[in-house]
Amino acid sequence: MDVELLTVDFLELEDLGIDVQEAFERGCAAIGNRITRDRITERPNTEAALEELVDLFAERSADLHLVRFSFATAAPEYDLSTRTFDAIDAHGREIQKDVVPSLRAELRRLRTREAELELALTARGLDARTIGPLVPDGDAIDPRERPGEGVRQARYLTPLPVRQSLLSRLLGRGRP
Amino acid sequence: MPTIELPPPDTSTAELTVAADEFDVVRVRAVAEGRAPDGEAGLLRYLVYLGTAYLEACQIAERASDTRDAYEQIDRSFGAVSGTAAVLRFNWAEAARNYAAEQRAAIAHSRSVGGYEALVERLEREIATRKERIQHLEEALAPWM
Repeated sequence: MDVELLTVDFLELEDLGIDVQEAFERGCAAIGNRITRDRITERPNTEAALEELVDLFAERSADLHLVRFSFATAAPEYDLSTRTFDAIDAHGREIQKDVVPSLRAELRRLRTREAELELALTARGLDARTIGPLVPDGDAIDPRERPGEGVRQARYLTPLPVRQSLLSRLLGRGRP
Repeated sequence: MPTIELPPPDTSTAELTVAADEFDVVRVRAVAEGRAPDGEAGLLRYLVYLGTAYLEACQIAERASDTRDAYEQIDRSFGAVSGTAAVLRFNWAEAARNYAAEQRAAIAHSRSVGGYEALVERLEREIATRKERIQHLEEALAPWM
């Protein structure tokens, strides 16, 4: 059977001079033969309390290492998710704040020019509606600026009047 | 809440030797205790980590001058491990929550961005059509210019 551990776990085992197989066998030996209470019941500093403490320490340490393994191996996916989200967000902002407003502005400019030319042709007795291509009815996009598009203008509130003390308000009562 | 620097995610494997029937006994006992994680991979990892901690505690006890000294040293290690575990668990829960929130937000954002991308396509189509028409209108007007 193969056990998968963090590479750093192997380095830590090496530092402690502990072999993986040895650790595994000790872990197997403990299962079913240890105290699984969550706190020490014996008097501190006694042999019995030390045994309980070792069981508690081993369980907590195993738990810590399991959490560290799960978190460390999941972390790259978490990072990727953050980067993906940021990329989508940035792309969305770029389209909403820059691309769409500039295209709408271009459309406004073209419509103005189109209307000028239509007027000029009508004045010369020509029917501009016969000159295409025409944008089908209902397909034309509203070229006006929309809320939420473009650079949002900061809104400023009118500054509050200077707060007066009770005394100055009483003294000032009745004055124009 | 402080954060703890995570180790790199690189993993390695080690081969463990154990008789199948012996391991089955361990597995049954582990389930009865209800402390070990489910699944063979998780259980194997847990057993290695658990055994390491026992051996580490054994090393501390061997170096200690007496039971009291051993108790105090292991108690300090227990406190340190408990604190680190609590912080790590909190950081992990927070990262997992952010991950879930990002996943949901990314889906909603993608839809919104998709809507704007479709709008950009329509705008570009209409601009191209109007540019072409303006050219035709200008050509029609050319004799008078």
